[in-house]
Amino acid sequence: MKKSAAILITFLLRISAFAQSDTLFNRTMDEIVITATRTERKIGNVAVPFNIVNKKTIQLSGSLRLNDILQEQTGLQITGGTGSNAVGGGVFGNGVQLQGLSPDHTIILLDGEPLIGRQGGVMDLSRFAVGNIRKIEIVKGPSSSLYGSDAMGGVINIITEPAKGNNFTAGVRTGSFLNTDIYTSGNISQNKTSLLYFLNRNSSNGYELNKSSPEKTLEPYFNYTGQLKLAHQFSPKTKLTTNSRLFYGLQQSRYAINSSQLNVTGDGSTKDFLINPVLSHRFNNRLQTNLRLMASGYSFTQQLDSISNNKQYYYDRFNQGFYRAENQTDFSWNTNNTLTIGGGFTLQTVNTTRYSKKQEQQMWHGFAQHEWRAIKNVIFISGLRYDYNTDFASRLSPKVAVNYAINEKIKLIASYGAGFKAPDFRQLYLNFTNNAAEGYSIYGSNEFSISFLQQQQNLGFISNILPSANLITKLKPEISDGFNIGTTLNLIASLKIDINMFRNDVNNLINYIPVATNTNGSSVFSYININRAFTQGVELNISYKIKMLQISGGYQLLSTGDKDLLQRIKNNEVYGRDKINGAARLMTKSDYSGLLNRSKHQANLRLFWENNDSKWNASLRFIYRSRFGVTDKDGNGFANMEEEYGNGMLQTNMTIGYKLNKSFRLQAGVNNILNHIDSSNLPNIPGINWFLGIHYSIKK
Amino acid sequence: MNKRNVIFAVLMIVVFASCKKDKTDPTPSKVDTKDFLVNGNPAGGNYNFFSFENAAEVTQVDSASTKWDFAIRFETFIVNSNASGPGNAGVQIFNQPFDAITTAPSTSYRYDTTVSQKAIKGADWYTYNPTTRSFSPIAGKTFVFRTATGKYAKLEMISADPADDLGNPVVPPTRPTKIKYKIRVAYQGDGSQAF
Repeated sequence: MKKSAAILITFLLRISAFAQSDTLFNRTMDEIVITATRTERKIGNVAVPFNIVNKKTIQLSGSLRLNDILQEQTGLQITGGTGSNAVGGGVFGNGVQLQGLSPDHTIILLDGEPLIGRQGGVMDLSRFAVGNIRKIEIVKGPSSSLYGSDAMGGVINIITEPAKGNNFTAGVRTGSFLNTDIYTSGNISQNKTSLLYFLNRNSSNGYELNKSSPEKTLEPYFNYTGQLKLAHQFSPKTKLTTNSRLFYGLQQSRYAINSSQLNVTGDGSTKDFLINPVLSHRFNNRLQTNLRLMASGYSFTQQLDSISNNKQYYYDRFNQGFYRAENQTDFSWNTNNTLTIGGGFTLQTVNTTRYSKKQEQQMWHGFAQHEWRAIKNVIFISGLRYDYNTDFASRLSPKVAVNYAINEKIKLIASYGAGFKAPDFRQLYLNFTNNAAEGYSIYGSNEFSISFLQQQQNLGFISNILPSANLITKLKPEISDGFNIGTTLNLIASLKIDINMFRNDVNNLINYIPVATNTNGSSVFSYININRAFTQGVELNISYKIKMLQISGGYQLLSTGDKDLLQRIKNNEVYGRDKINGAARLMTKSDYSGLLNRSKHQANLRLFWENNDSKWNASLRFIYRSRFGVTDKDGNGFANMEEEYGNGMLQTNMTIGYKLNKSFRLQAGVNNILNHIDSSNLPNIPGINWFLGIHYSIKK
Repeated sequence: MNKRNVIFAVLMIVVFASCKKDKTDPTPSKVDTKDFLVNGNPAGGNYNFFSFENAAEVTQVDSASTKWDFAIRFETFIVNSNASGPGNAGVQIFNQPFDAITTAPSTSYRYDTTVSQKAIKGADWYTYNPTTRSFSPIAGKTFVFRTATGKYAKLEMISADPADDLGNPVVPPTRPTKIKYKIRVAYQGDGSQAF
């Protein structure tokens, strides 16, 4: 009896310890961040702006997919186009903007390894279930000195649950549009080996925002996600963890083309897999190393057939492979100095219906980072990375950062970093002539040559070659210089204020330019490093805790611009109209609204509540973005007339949760309570919708 | 040059300028805003023919006459002279708003010299986005025409939207069969060069 009481007490203590570490309310300076330096660091020592979204927040928000939870974070903007994609929403899916930079300028990592499968530069976040996520770390500003290509606007690192302990969870949820989600996950540990699995099926009947169209805004889909993680502790110093993931999604595509009836139908399928063994060894307290291997693949296939005669109407296929071997070694020669060095080799392959052949890229990289605690409250971090590859110009990315804790309550951080984005596949290898529509052709820079154009001219396809054709050369990466300066104020224990100012200057942006004119009058395009842009702004985050209520508010003021266009406006070369039928007039700097698809103001207010015994919880979240340019109807490259803007959008989401007993909890929620919709500009946001779910979990 | 010569020259200019003004006394040109639905197939099919005089489309039957000034298929322009027709039409494009062009120049009009070397190239007047398949006429570009019969006209492109056969807008992946143009034109019928 005594013994069992002791066990019970230990058990309860463990439960409460777990609850405390898992709670959304207790963020201490001891919490760990890994993404900022690629080493585990207490958040108080980090010198770059970052944000952590923990499991509790994800659960209380009732999020299912990565875009659901990221859209509620300050400074992150989900982009969604129209059309169809295998897992929902957008020609290129739900991408994310960070610090005003487009989705192709943000790297997305799964347990520290880059995810692949971008279309048009956009990684569709709805491909990723959040049920197996322990936390999401978002580091803002360039981190190419650590992560290489794409880490320009920032890094989003999805950290999945570790394989340890013995537990089992399962849940089912359904709601509007028959959006149904079923999952199960579990851990089995024995001696030195642990296994984690996660399985998820998500499906929806889709939704319709524009009733006049026979096509649905989001077509019906289903998808499966599977994860298996195996960890083995060879010795107290040596551990092998192998993570793997499989995804399959299928989405209907139905179109009414030149008709009021659906006449073309088919589907798009998306598959991805990865396997990622990581062997880590700790020689002693000062020296540790890890060897990381990664093999991943992604494919997307879409086929559309005509309903009337079953003939193929459209076919598109995209296959990508990514293989990497990398070593990272951390060496602390004393308590104030840590050196991190690493390097690796990457092979990428890509093949699509729009390229002339299967393309391959080989890349080498090496990086070093030095973290130096100069005095007790000042930490300097400097880093450098070199990326060499076979298909485009190489790149050196430096970074310096400083963290200065003035006292316990005020901390200052400042950093400079270089970011880059390698030319993407289409910019290098596209070889595409749109015979069906406008007849234009686009060639990637590696597929392009003047002699090819001359040959086409001799054959009578091209009428004249433009002088700009001579400008097409080997592409350079897009590069940026990012500055961040910020402060964290913990004036009273329950109130935390983060302010960060940022500026990113982006050069060598790749765009297509016309290089020749076809005999039918349409253009031949190729890619060139041409544009220069900037994004700058201020981000403010406040979180305040009153008893069991956590209130957090965020705001981002953003200004962006195309520097060359601004220069042309200054030179009085740019005209625009105030109304579509109006007269053209000279545009001034005050007419300029910045890059398309950026909201000047973005704000959120989020309330999370949990009662003392954790029996009840609730959340209420408001997410707002101000109007944003969506199109350019007067050819000047920016939005200046009313018709060129999408309206501001406020989403209001709420959930309520109840714990039935130790194992079962219920959750219900309503999203977009105010039913704000914009079918043409924000098709990724459905109207008012509800859900109801039940979750079971048991721990041993 | 002495002072007297300068005064004389200034006087002559003033006299000449005022004489010219008296002489022309232009009838205001006729300004119209028009919607046209043109063939959206870039590779083949018919052009749609336009006459500035009537600010209207001309039937296909008249394609071999001087009854039309310019024609469009998809976004390709042809001008009624030389390689494209029996007329005397020519065109030039200015980087100025429609209203700012008050006089048509006497020279420097361009023609379609061969079937493939056209007077107006796409890159001259629109920006194209291959991703969204939309093209946007560049505001502040004004086309000045000498018509097939030697009169003068000016034109600005207001919009060019992908459309179906009925003129309803279409968005990708639906392929447009027509392009719906909105244009503003001014026609000076009295033979003078003033608008």
